[in-house]
Amino acid sequence: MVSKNILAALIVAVIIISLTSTYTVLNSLKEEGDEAGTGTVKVEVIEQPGPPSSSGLAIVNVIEKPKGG
Amino acid sequence: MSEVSNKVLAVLVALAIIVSIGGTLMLLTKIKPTMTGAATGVAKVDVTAVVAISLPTSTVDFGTIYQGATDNTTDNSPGPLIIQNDGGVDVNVSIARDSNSSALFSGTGGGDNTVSFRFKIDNSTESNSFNYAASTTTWTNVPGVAGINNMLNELKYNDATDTAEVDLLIDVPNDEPIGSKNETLVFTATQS
Repeated sequence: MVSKNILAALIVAVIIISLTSTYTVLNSLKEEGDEAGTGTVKVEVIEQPGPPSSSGLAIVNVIEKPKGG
Repeated sequence: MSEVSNKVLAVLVALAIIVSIGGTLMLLTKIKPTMTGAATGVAKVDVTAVVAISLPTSTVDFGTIYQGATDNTTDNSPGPLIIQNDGGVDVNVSIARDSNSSALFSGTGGGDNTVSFRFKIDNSTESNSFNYAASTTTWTNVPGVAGINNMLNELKYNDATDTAEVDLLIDVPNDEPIGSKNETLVFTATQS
């Protein structure tokens, strides 16, 4: 016949083990979660060069053709 | 109703311990494979191709010339227009008369798309800058606002080989009204 004291000790042990296990699980989950989910993406934006079109100019000054002799 | 014996209670308590430990171990085993310390993810960056050109030499001044005379830029007097690819991709370039500009000559044989005003593409000092065979490298009439597409083909973007010459030729009509004339040409680039 198990004594009342042993029974009480066993029940206390169950409580302690249960709490310890729960704490261990929660702590484990917390540590794993803290290490995940952070990161840095770096993008350098530079000034865009000129437009896709550009213009050029042709200039000429026309004078009267010399009269043939 | 008789009370449960202490022995039965002890067995139940022992069973509770086993179930508790077993459950915890099973839980940890179940969670471990899906939880890692290394987070993975995908960072997506869209880089848009930049199409850009400029004309380092943007003016050709033929100076004073007689009616009926002709001149061109192949002797570098005056020098030709220079087109430069300032973007990050190879480009094709079109040529057109600016809609805000008139044709260079208005005398007989003048106007858009006539032999009075012609162009052609040529190598600059930066040879192998473009696809010579696919470009307009023989004298061709300068078009009106409708333009000519891809007259300069696959102009590269690397600094060492990113320029081309646009030679110009004028053949002044005999009856061209005397005075100062000019025409603005628009060069537009698209990705090759």
